[in-house]
Amino acid sequence: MRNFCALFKVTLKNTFGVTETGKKKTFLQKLFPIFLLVAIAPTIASFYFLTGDAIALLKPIQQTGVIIGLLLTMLSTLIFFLAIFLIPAVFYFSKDVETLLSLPLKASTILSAKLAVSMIYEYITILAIGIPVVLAYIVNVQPPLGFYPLLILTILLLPVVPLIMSGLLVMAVMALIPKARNRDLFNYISGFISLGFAVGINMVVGNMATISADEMVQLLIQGNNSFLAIFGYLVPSVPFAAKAVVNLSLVDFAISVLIAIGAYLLFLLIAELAYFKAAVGVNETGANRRKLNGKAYLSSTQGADPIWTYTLKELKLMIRTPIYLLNNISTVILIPAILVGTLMTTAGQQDELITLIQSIDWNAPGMFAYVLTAGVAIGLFMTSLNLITVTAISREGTRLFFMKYIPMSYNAQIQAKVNSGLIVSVLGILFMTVPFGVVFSIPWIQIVLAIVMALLASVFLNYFGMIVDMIHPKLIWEQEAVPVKQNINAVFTMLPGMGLPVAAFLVLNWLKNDTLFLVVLVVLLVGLDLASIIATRKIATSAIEKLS
Amino acid sequence: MIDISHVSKTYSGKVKAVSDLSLSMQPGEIIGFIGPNGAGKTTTIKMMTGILKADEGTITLNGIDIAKEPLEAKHQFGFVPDNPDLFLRLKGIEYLNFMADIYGVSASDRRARIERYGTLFEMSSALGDKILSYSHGMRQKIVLMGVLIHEPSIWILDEPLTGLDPQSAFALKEIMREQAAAGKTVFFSTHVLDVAERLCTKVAIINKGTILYYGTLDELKAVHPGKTLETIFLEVTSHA
Repeated sequence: MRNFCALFKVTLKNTFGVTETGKKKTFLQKLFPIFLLVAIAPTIASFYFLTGDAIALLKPIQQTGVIIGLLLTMLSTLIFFLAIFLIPAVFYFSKDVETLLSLPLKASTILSAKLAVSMIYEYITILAIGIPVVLAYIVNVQPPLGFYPLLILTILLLPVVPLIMSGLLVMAVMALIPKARNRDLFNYISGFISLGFAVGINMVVGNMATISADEMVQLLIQGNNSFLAIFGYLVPSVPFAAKAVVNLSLVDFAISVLIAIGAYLLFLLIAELAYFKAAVGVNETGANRRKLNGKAYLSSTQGADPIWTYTLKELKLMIRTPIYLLNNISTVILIPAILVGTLMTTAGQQDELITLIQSIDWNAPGMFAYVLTAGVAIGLFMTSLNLITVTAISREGTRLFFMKYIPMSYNAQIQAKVNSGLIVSVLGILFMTVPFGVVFSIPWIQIVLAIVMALLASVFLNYFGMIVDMIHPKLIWEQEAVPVKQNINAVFTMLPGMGLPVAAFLVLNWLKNDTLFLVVLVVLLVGLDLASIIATRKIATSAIEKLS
Repeated sequence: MIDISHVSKTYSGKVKAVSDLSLSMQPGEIIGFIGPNGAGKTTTIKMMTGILKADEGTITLNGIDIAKEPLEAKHQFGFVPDNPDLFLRLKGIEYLNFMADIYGVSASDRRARIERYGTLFEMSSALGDKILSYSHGMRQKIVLMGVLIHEPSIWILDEPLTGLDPQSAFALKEIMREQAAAGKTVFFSTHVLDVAERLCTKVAIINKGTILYYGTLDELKAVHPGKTLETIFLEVTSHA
């Protein structure tokens, strides 16, 4: 127990305190919680009001308990899936594993401490989703006093079983499949699965009409929260936990606690049997250690222009770092694919909106300007989505010093970084505009002009992102995810990303003349492009020199 | 040739890391930069390489001021940082080509040098793999090769022997001697006094940001007869 407590304390500090540098927080860093709150406030509010509306419908038929059942089911399912990716990262691929393996600690002690830290992570998820729902439930249902302690205890226990289920699954995979012990491979696979999962959820939610009307009526007639029965519980403790909270049943609560204890004991047993076996075989990436053959060697040693070689270096590092591939690159293919895919499926279902769009006469007066505005919006959207330039300096981290000692001007290096952003943005713009243009039968000249507008808008946003990151980079991090996923800079590119299309739309309504609008738009975008390019060149040297 | 003249550096306006430091290094010399932890070695090296700006004083490399003509000055030297974890997701061969492109090395020269140093450091079979898969010593070797590929006239190395296996450490020391014999200047920081004693034509001892001694080992030993470099180093730094 002493070992567990010591290990838990250290792991917790290591996990949540890595970005504490002892430096004073900048003004922007101080503002970060406010930005965050503003960003998630609409989601939290919508959870609250949605729950309130649902309760208003469920109250007359005495089915309000369904809210708690749904919440617990949703949270435990979410925890289970999130943990499939969290557990390998924390149990096997975190940097402290090598040190822990050399200490005289039992596998069950190490994993208990790591499980406890993972639970802290999950509580954050639970709080973000759970608080607005529970608050709406309390305000609208006004449950008896006994509800509160049971709810708190249930929520505290909630992550145990889904986390352990994921833990057991991951330990089995790691022990039985040696290839899974490659950190990079794991990150690629888990990243794409989680994206697929997100897309899947989207589709399932969109087509959620699985319960027949008869079944629904039957369940509702039964009253007394029997609606809870409709949830197919993935996690075995959840039905009991839900009944315990809704019906204030201590027996059900005791059963859910017993299930959690049983799962933990099984977890300890499997940890002792399987953990060390796989953990000692973990590696960062694959390697062949084969001498390059003559042809590959010759082709790889061709000289190239320094800016181009630097651009390629940027792209290669992004493509080969799983977290950057997912956040910076894959979006340019996935988002258009998802949107176009959804469009194709709904197009087949005679969706009203699609039918309406397909019936548009693209040659009608005014349409041309709308297509161009859409081009601007797509250019900005696909650029702000890839986060490449706005995190280009941040991704250097402590390696930034390399930029300072090589004989290449800061302007040239910054240009190479912008190039990498431009290349990915162009791909995104093409993947987005061409299929949409074809599906909606937009005349090719309008498509081409929309692409030109998108490119002009993208140039501006790429340089703008670069300026933001040069002035305010996030350089201190240990996990590669931090500079792209916990970087406030991304917000700054979203502002012009959203503002410019609105401005274009306003100008369009004001001018009411296609040709004039085209001229104004081009002048505006070229002006913004030139301004951002000049500003980037002006500040590059002084901004990079200031960084340490 | 490296000339450091009255250079000072203070961090956050409070901590004086380097104070009025002057050193002059000639072609053909191997200079060992020794001092305890936190003495100012890395700060000095960072100023020499343009990573940090000196608050006062000038640093010239082959007569070119690093503050006034940074790009030209950076073409003069090759730098091996103390942490070799650079571009871990590039393959070894890609990193070498990247460095060769940055320094404008021709295709034929880079091939010949990759061949030679790959064999010397036993890295030929690892060049097709990502640097991430390398051990610490291998990462150190690929960074060294990244410097050797452009054959700079000045070498600046921060703790270059850390993590190298005996064969590679021997090979590196031989290359340092070879470069010095060819008229190049080799400047390196180290904690290994034995290496400094065997390899260097001159040593610079630094403590608390100030140079305590700069000259040949023979001159140093003449002032402290019958003592080893280790004893002399401990005496000199403890009296600072």
